[in-house]
Amino acid sequence: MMETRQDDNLASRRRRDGVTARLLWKEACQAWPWYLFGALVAVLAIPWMLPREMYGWRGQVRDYPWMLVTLAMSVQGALLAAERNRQSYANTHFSIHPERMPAFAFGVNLLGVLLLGLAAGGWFAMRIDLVLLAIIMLYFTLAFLLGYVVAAVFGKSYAGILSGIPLLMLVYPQLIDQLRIHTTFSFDSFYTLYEAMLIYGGLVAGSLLAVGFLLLSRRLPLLLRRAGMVLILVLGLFGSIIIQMLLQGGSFGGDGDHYTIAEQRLATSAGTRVVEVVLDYPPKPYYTLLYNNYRAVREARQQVTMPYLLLGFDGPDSVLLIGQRRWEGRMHVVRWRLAENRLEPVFDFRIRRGALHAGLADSHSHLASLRPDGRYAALQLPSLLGETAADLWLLDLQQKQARLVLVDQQATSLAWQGDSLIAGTPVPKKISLTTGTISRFSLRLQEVRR
Amino acid sequence: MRRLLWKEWKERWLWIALWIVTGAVTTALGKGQFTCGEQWQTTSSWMFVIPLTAMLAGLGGYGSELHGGRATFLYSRPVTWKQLLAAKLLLGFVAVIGSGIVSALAGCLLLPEEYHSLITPHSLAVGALIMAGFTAGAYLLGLAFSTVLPGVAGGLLVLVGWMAVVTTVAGLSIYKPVFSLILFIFSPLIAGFILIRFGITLHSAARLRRFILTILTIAALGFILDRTPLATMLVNKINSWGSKVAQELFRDNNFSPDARYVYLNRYVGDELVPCLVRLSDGRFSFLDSSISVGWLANGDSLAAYSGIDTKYPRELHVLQWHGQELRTLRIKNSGYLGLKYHALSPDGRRLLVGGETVLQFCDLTTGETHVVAKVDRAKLRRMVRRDKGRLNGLFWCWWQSTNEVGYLDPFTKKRVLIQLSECGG
Repeated sequence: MMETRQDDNLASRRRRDGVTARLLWKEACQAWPWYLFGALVAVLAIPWMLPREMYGWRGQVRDYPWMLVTLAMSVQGALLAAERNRQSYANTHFSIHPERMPAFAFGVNLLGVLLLGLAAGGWFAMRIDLVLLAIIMLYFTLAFLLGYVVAAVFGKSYAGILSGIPLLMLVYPQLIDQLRIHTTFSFDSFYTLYEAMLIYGGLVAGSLLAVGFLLLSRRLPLLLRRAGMVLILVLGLFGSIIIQMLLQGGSFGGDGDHYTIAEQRLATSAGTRVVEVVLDYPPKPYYTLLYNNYRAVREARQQVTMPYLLLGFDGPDSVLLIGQRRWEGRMHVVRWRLAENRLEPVFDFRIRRGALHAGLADSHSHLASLRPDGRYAALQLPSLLGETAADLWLLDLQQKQARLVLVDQQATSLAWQGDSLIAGTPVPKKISLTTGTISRFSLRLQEVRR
Repeated sequence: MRRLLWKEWKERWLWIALWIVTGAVTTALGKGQFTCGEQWQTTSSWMFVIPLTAMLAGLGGYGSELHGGRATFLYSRPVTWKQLLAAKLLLGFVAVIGSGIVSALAGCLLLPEEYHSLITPHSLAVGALIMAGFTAGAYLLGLAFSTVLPGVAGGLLVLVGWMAVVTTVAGLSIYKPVFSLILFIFSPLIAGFILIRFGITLHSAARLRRFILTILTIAALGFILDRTPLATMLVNKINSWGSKVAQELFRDNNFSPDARYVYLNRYVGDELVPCLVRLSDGRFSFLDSSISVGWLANGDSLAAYSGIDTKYPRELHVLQWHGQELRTLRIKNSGYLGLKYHALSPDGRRLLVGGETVLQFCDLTTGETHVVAKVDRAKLRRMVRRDKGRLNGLFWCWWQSTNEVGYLDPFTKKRVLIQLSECGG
């Protein structure tokens, strides 16, 4: 009797092992091309990510393999999700729980994606920083999981495949930028890397919980199961955003623009009149504009909550500032009357929300300049139309008008020449102050001895 | 033909709709098809999402025919390969035009108001034409990849493999690919066409073999052409930027505020060389190394050498134009000083440069430097640690008069005035 029971247990274990092995074999047969191509492309892409400066088409070409791996992972996730409800050989021939086969397939593929992330990011991360391995693995896992969850929610494989597109649009460029910037070990990039990891982590955790919910909620109506998955995914995303906000200590103190604002300094040639921005430590929800006339021993202070750019001295006793609150669709031009220590609005104009914040977050993209006579000013802020480029505004301070003159280009300097503004774009531009017409600023060069 | 077109539409209307909607949405967000301004290119990489969707639409092209002998069945009917290809191309052509028009409309109607003044028929036409070129190319490539393995996923797999090889060829450092790369990029079109003409009814493995073989043959032709003088000529042609005055290409144009001078990086061949230009007569001089440049009110340039190269140690230089010549004045012991905190004397002859522990001035006619004030670094660091988040040191300096300078004492924060004669000036 005892022997019979032992035999039964042994036979049952062997059967179970046999099923597991067959399921594993099925997954291996179905999914091997994905992982082979994925691993090949990902590993090929690593060396191309190492150089610190990559300009031109070569740098662009090097970005594509991981882009394609992202899409491949989304497709794999989506196809897997679409397959889960199909009548399969395993369901028909093995006496297993109906959710076992999809759960097993999901687990094996998830493991495959993690290994791919390890293969893709391992060597790269070991050379630079092991933290990068986490973000690379999280990223590929996210592509797979989003493909799976979206396909499961909509019940169509192409919906999951399409989920890879927003991932490529929104997340991929940031990942590549962070990996590139991180090689320079700047504090800012380190900061945004953890920020991004938190969001990826939130989405991965949300997706995993959503898949878990799908597996365990077999008895619930289909609509409820799908709604539950969406809810869990959204909760994961918002949870990570809230944690990030809490870690930053509110929206004001943790912003990158806080540092850029404090970097500003306006001084006359002899250094006698100086305007600076003073921050308190730890950061407070305001900062102080500090004016010093060292020669005449005069000082003025203004506590402000709006982020301002220092445009320039508008006369012996006034300074022009330009500012925008983060969620406001208008830019304010303000004159600081130093004698009375009073901020006086000059005019405001319509501009997209968050334009100044975006400019301050990327210290290379914002420029402000005041013509020495104070009649015109120019302001460059990141463009809505591009990603790395900027829009140039021309401000007529007498007519109190602002005009957008250049879009989707980035100048590295601004200069005033007679009735024209010169923008230091890659092909320098000359902008007429009166008509706003743009012409190419021609540089005719002849070499001299040095 | 009408039935074939209807078949194509029924099979792929969702991909085409996705393509057009993606174009419209990305353009309305300002990131897609170029709609306003004077320039011919945009910096938005989102723009490539539209060709990507076009490629996905193309990838579904022959995929459905490769399942379960559908192509054999189709060719058993009075349908020729030309008609089938024409139907697929016609659908793509209509989608290219539709996407261009819908995207342009979305840009006109939905972009924020401030951009409307820059939207012109010319800018719309240019944007639509550029995008049409990209999407048509992507669609054709997608169609070519769809001839190998069944389904969109199959096409995507072939695409991934092809991209892996293109990346390897592009990144080869041992030799410069020219023809091999160009031919390799276009090879799927030829390989796809050959399969459409001769191999659609074959087995998947046979199609894959033919596809790879055609691509490799074309690449081999490219490798052979790379060894000919023609390749060298092409490389020289591509890398001739900046070697002619008519084809100037610059980077990082840093104009002085009064637009009298500009510091820029100039392309010479495929290298960037920094140079300083006087705009009145276009005279310029190449500079030795990559530097940061600030401008003084008298027109001189204050240049900071980065010190990466031991040949050019970290140091401040003043670059002055004297007639036809550019002179360099090295400020001694200035490696630790930055460009931000400096003051020019009222007569423009001396420059005061503030730093963390040393304040010094430089005579711009002789190049002599004199220390105005010095503080103990360790004592200052202790103070900085106590006063977290604040910059401290001898940065705040000014000219009280032509012969008198002032600075803020870093410990007491009081003004200190010093006659130049006291510090050897």
